[in-house]
Amino acid sequence: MNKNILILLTLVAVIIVGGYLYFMRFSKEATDAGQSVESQVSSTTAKEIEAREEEPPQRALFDLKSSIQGAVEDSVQEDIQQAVEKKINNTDKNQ
Amino acid sequence: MKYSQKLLKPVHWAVVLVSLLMVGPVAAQDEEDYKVKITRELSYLDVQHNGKTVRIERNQDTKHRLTNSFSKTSRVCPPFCINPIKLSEKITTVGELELLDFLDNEVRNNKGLLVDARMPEWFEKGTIPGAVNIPFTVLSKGVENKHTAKILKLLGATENDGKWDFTNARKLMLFCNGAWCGQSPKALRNLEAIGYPDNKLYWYRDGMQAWQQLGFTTVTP
Repeated sequence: MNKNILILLTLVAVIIVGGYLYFMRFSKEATDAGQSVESQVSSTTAKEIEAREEEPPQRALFDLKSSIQGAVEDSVQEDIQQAVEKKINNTDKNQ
Repeated sequence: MKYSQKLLKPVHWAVVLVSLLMVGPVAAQDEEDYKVKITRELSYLDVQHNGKTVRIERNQDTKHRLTNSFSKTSRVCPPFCINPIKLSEKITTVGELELLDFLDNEVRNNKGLLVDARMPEWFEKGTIPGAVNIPFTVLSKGVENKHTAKILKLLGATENDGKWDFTNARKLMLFCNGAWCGQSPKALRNLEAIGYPDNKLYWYRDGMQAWQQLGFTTVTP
């Protein structure tokens, strides 16, 4: 009787520990991907506050890249326009 | 008492064995996931690209071969001539690990930018996660060009009565298609010429070809 109880308790403990470790692994992966389970569910956890504190450089970087991309697009468009105009002028001259 | 003592030993062994069988694989799974690591210690690096987290890792298929244009060995020279390892005295030439470190420190903290100096159509085919596209044609113009001037200001440079101050300008790491590509060298030389401090300029000489040959992650914008 004692033996059976011990084996049963052991198995339950192992399943709990195993389940906990699996949960920790997936929770870590979700956090790594910037989508922690906690931040999805709760609104005022410590992790979210930390995330908000880390946000400004990333947000600023995103805004900076967007601004640069806008300026690059304007420049490339202008180059294309100038190239087209140059080609039209050359064609006119040849005619 | 004797009975339970006799029983405890095998039970303990069973617990240890089962725990090892279950916990062992769980603990080691992260490592086992990566049979092709970046270095012995580094398996991957998460970076921000277009507001999303992208994981830079190496292709885990050890039989993978490149089949795109980067598998090509020979290009007509000129213009596709091989560049020297150093562009100038102070511009630092870097490899993949230094690039990853730059992304992890300078770019992450908004103190530097990884610049894909190729034309937009190449950038759109695939680039290094975390990179921004500033074509060499834009960076090869003078400060009198309004678009180039705007980009320099966005990079942290300031202008006062036609004089440019690059004290607070960001560090830039440029790359293009490979060691035979002249686009990033041209852009870097021009940046140097307009006064961008060369100790803030870095060059990933081997570019997209080496990046893809090592099986690193690429992204399409």
